[in-house]
Amino acid sequence: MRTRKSLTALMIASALAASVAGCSSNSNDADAGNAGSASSSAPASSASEGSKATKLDPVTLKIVLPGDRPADMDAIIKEAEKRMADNINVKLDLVFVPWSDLAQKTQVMLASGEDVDLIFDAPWLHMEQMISAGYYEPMDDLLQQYGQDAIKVRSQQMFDANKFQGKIYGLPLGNTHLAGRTYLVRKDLREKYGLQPIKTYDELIQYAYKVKENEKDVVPLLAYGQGASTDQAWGAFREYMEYPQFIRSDALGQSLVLYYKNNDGKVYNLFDEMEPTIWSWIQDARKLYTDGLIHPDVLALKDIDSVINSGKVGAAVYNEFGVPSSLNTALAKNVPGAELEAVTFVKMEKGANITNFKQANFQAIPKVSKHKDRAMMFLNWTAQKENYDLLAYGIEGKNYEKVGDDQYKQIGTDYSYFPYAWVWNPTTDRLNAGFDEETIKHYQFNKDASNLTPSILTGFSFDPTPVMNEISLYNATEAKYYNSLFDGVTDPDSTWASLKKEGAANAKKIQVELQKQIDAFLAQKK
Amino acid sequence: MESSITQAPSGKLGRAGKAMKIKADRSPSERAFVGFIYAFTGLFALVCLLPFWIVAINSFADESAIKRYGYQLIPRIFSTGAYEFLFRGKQVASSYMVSTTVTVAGTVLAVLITAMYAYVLAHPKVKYRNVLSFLTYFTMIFGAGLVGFYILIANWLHLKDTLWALILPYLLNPFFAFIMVSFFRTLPYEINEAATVDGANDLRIFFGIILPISKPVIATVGLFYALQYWNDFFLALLFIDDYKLHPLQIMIRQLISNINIGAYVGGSQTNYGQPLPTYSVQLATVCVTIGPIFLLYPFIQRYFVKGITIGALKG
Repeated sequence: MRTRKSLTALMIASALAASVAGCSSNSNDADAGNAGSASSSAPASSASEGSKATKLDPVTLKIVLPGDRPADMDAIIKEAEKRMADNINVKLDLVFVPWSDLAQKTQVMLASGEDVDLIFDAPWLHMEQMISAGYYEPMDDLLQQYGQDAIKVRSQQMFDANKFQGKIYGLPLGNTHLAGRTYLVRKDLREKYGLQPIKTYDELIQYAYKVKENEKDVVPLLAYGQGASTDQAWGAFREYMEYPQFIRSDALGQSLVLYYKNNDGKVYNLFDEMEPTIWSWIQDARKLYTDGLIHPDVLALKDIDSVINSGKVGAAVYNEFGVPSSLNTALAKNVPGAELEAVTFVKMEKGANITNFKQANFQAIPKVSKHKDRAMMFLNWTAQKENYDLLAYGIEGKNYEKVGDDQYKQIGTDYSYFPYAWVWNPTTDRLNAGFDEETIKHYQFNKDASNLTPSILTGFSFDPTPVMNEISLYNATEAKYYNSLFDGVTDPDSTWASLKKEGAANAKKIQVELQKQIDAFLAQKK
Repeated sequence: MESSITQAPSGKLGRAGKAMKIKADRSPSERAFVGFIYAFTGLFALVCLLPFWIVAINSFADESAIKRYGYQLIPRIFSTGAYEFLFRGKQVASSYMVSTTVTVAGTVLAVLITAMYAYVLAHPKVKYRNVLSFLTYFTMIFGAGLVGFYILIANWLHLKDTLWALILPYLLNPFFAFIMVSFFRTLPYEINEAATVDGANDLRIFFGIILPISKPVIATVGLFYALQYWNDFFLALLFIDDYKLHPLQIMIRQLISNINIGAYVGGSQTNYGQPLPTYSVQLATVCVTIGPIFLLYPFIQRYFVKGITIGALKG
């Protein structure tokens, strides 16, 4: 009887504890929030008075980043906070969100008005949508006031081209003005057959046939076939390497169906008129696939990197210049003597490449942030060379080694690479010292915005709202056919016919709307 | 069917004796049939076991062996490197603590609250029990959506980055409540009357009489809750920003997310290629995280079967 009674008491107590704990954490948070807002208003006013000597109150910035938390993150945060203590006095609360849940979680965070000071966003995520919903603060004034260093390390083109609705809503993050594209080729195999370094696409295919003849366990060619990575399907990938360029439109992501050419401000539609070059890529991919050169499972493979480093691939497409050192190390471990080399046919001539200077990654300041000024001060702080080195590569001697002024060597895997999420810029960025000379030249060449021909559409941003429905319908159609078409998995004629039958009407409407907005943009520009 | 149920309480001895008798009486064809049944179920069990075996044994395989020869029944080279890598950081240990705490505390609280609520719904003297039932049922069909839920937990209750955010939202599951209601309804109300005559109040009746005789349904619902708490990653994903409070399932979630990264970041020119844990580490992660629940299953399974029939037959 006594035990029963005490059990009852225990259960009631625990239920009570639950409610009390809920309340107590409630009041704590509220206090912290008040304190935060009070402290933020003080430095804002003092800073505007221009009295920089007065020490700022400590402020904790909550920053939302994609991916995983690196193992050594705490050590780097500690060092960064130590360095900031005497000037901007910022503490860092970094929240990492898995890639799979990034869209949903960040949207919910913003919609609920949660207190976030800096947040990663991108056009491929939901940047335009969040801006239209009014969640982000325009940065132009903040940049002028607190972000001089952040402006200095980025080119003017980068800011001009990455405005949304005429304003800067996110700090553009990128280490180059032209996205690199590369074929990763097995150097050891090429040398085994006595072939010269590959200079043209035909030589690449010759090499692939050699691999097919001589290696039983190696699939000659590998491209991407999953989901939205349509730019890396074998046939579509060739667009980056051949001239004149066909530039993908602003409306349909990485699809080649709507494209620009000749820098003439017109939208071309493959359904209206098939471009012979693009069709030849599709047919070429089909031939390679039926000849058994392209990986038979290309549409199903997810983890391309580990297929490459298992040593079972002769050549693979890769976004960015150069061979990532992680791939080469892993490959050498699995297949002794194997080595990858980077082969690219992207031209390195002044003005050869047309670009709109669009970047794929941004850091935005949400409207609800109570420390917008400090958030911008922090972004500015990261633009200083030694601070950039810390946040991008970790602690010197422990996570990386400096090689000269503009290269680095990673040590271990405890601080994985993610500067693209918060600090990337073309000036202070270091290159992987493991890159070959040619690759380093490519990077250095493309860091300078004046080496590229600006697209006539630089600064244009497409507002998808009027054709939202068509775009989602069209994308659903394309998802069924596009990758299998450009990877050569299905018959080109019938696949193209199906895609055209189901998608042409929607694509046309999107094309018309896009052209309308482009015309308005160009008229205004003149 | 009917007879087997009524015979069941007649005791172990009777059943065992019967089984022996069948064994003695077997004709050759019957024996062949029984043999076939054994072979078939044995084989089927083996097929079910195989995937798990491959995961478990290859988590002990050397990474380069997996890369070169693929997953094998018996790896050519053994190594504990994956586990060493996994246990090097503190994340596994702290995640285990979080998952265990949430599962134990959550299950106890949830069963208690659900049982109390279900008792009210089932009690014939509660005037508004049907209204309450309807309200409970209503939440099964209509929800407030994700943003509303998030605002409630994060902005009003301020439960972000606390373990309560992982526990509170699941405390009262309407479906489990109805399972309990249907069980409580089968208990004769005369028990309550007798207890009242003997001077027991409502609390005493519930904790002293109803709960002890409701063990089967408590076990069942408890198991459902435990599984729900253990397997949940969604609440942690939404409400836990502090990595020190991440439960185990988030580890798996991140793993899968990084493998499928291409599917989420399409249309970006940046190469986000996250360095993936090696194959053996992925397998080891799976082995480590399914541990406790996997070991618990054999012991609780019989309650499961019983509990499901409780819900099914009498609901």
